[in-house]
Amino acid sequence: MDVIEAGIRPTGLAGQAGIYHYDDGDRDFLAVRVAEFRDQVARRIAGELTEDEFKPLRLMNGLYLQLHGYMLRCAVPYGVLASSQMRRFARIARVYDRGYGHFTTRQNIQFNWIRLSDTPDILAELARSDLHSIQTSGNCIRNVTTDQYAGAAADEIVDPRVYAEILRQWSTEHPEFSFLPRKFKFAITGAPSDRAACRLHDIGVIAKCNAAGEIGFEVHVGGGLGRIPLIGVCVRDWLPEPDFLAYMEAILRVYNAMGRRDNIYKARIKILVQALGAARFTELVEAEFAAMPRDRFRLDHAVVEAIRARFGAPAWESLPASSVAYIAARQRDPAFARWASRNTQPHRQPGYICAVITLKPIGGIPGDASAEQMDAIADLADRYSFGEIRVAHEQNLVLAHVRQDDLYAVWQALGAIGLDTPNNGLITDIIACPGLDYCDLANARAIPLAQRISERFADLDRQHRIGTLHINISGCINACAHHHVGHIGILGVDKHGSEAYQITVGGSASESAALGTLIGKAVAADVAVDIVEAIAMTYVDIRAPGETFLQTFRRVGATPFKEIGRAHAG
Amino acid sequence: MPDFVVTANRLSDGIVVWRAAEDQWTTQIQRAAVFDADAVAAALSTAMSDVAARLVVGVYQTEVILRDRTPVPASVRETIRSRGPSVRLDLGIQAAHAPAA
Repeated sequence: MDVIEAGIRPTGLAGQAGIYHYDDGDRDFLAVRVAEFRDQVARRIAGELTEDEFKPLRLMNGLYLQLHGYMLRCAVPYGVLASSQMRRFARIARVYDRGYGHFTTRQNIQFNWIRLSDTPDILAELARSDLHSIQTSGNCIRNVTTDQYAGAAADEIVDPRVYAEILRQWSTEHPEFSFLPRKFKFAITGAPSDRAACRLHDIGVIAKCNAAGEIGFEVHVGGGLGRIPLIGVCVRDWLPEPDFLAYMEAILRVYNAMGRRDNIYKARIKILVQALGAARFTELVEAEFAAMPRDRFRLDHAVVEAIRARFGAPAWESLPASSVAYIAARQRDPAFARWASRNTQPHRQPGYICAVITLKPIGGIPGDASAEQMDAIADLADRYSFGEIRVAHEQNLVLAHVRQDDLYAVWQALGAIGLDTPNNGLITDIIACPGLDYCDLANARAIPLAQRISERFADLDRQHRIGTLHINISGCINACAHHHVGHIGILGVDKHGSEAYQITVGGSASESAALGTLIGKAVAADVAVDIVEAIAMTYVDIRAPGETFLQTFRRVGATPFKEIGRAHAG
Repeated sequence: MPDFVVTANRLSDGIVVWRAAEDQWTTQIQRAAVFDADAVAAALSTAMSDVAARLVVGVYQTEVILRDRTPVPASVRETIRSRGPSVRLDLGIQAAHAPAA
């Protein structure tokens, strides 16, 4: 190593629990990567590298060329951020971009107006906050995603962040898996409620405990959305912790050796699993696993504990299970009660609660946050949540460890920055990709349709009467917004040169994962809004007491919804 | 017979540009040079020299419609590309060339 980026030293995460703390080795690694990319950018600008030569290098650092220019995707490993890291994003938005960032369904953040010549400096700034853009693009193992309530949820059995970090370290610049047939996505959860869409990933891992209290994993392989949506198959119901990395290595080896490289649309592991059949694929993985020198790949529990220690633990206060102040505030202020009824999640620690900040104000752009909002959320995290913030794959943010006593103050502060909409999981909490407004691959816009639907259901009373209802809108078949698994899924297509939208119903990313059913032909955006409204109203009309949208759909089938599609077919 | 313009992104900052008269590049599609189907291949070829010169990246031709002799993008994609995000009128080319308040 001849160049270490000057000044890449931590701004410090001291006192911020729940964040994996880098050591000098991690920081030196990032410094070398930044210096390497600085050299590559200089060579590109000097003409020593052609675009064909440079493209794979920039993609390995998260730099895309999109519709309006360069887009930089920065990693938020497993969606966990320190407040200082959020402030770093805010600074990048302010100094190098146009004052905002876009949080994505892979729990990352994107900046849309980046200059090529600025990217080395941006990566250096990221590195100063123990951040990077590694594994946010290219045919490698991408940022591992997890439950946004990891380490906090009351129903959690195993904290998945530790194993997500282990996967990150194992996969970063893994020499065997840096040039896979296609990108490769992991999701991991440690709760029975799958909030990480594990069954829709190349590998989905569900951490659990056996009767003896030992940690092990249920492993699903071959899930994915995109052009050919498939739900993963369970290849192992119980994988003991020591074999965790060996088994992941075995799966990747089978894929790397046998995955198709001749057709980009058939190169994902799901196609291999489908082609071989789940039984044969599993047999090959087990054979590879059996032949591996197990000691070399053994994940010692001491290593797991050492990594767990690097996260630190919040300094919990000893609190009663429920807060008198919180209950009183809910009784006193109906608006707060409404927000708290939707935008919170039970916490495992008595007296604490998870607070969800939906980045979905009525008529807003899903997932966008301004630099000022990022700074304000960082301040709230410092004051009320041990300096920690989560990015949810629903394009929302979470303050994971708020004292119930403080929740009213948090809500009031969110109101001051326009982020107190009480719509978590409701019909206006729409997941939408950047679509044709930003993305080079898109066929249709997703954001304006999300905005129109949000405005149609702006009435909070109406939203709350409808209840939980997930809408996902993708601007193309690549399905970045997971439209196949939306309760109502919307796919933008190009229909004879015009934007049109196909609508599915009954999808789910949960532990009872399902792909949505198409209800009719593609329609114009204004008709799509009418159809969404008709679907929601039909659900309200036909649901049994207490029945969720999925329960209703599974009871009555697609017929009533296909009738809506037919009625609006024009 | 369709008409075409030649477009690209500026290498240094990624900004969308169009081939204009006298082998220059412009950030306003209204100032782009328009080519018929016979001439566009040669224009594309000439424009490629600026890829080698490290001025632009991702050169391609795209169809336009002439309105009052001014080229207008023929597709939704190119319309958005020529203006900026339809959901943020304060950003992109549309903002840079907006009339002063």
